[in-house]
Amino acid sequence: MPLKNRLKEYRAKTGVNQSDMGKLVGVSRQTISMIERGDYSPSVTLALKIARYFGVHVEDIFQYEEEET
Amino acid sequence: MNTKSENRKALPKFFLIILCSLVVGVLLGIGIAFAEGGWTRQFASAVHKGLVAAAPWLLWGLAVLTLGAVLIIRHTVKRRLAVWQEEDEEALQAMDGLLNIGMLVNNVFTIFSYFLAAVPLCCFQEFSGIAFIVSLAGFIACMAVMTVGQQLLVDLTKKLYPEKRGSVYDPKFQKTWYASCDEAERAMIGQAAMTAYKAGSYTCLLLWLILVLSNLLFDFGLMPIAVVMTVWLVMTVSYITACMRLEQRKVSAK
Repeated sequence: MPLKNRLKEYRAKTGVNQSDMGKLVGVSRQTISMIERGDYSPSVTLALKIARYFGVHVEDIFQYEEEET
Repeated sequence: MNTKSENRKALPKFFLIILCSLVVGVLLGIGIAFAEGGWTRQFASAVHKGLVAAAPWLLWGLAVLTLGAVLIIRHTVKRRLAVWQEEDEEALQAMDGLLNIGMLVNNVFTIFSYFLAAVPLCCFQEFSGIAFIVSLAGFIACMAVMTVGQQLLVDLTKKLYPEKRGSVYDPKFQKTWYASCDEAERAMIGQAAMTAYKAGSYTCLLLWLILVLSNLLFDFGLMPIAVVMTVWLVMTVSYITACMRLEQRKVSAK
């Protein structure tokens, strides 16, 4: 998956758990966990909601990395 | 890669599959036509008699098996849930897997019970009064156990995922459940639906072939083929019209 993220790091910084994070951005705890593991790439809307919650730019949390061919 | 070169690359394999299917089909047809004899009627009659004799007990057996499976899974998940620490993904996935196995068993047995319930209803003249009543009571027991079993598993899933909504007893359960799923879960449902659609299409094609060939042996006519084709048609038309509706929604949203 070419989309890397630092969600877990940001979440740890603010001390919010996965369930609360999910509630804050309108998704399930499982989805937050899947994003953190890199098993799911969030929609633009969700990525923006997450970034807005932490008060940073989307690129600070999510980075697109080109896959090597 | 452009469309023409893609087609050119795929065509030889496609023609080879068609040719192999044709050869296998012709050989099977010829083989079955030669194999046709009294044994086919004996075989069909033995299966029929076996089903008539076993249906009442199989229905009760399914009800007991489903109840046992659901209760064991429920007990195991409840025990694990009581000691579950949030963010322990492995434990959560194990519980989720058990609930999914429970759902699978429940749904597969429901389909079997519908089939077995058709035996006394279609062949009631071959059933004694008691066997008929035992069969129908078995079917009712299956329906009751499977509905309650599904609700128990759904309730437990809701404990695992508190944001989930819906009750199995509500006719709009699937709609409510889907509405409570977020984008990642909906994406998973979409992928699973695609797998089911592909499996369904292949199964219908395979059944058509099996039924056309078996008709040479059992002479059951066009009815079973028409039934399979109806399922295939409904599946295909509903899939394509749903795609069209979604495309339309995308265009009108722009």
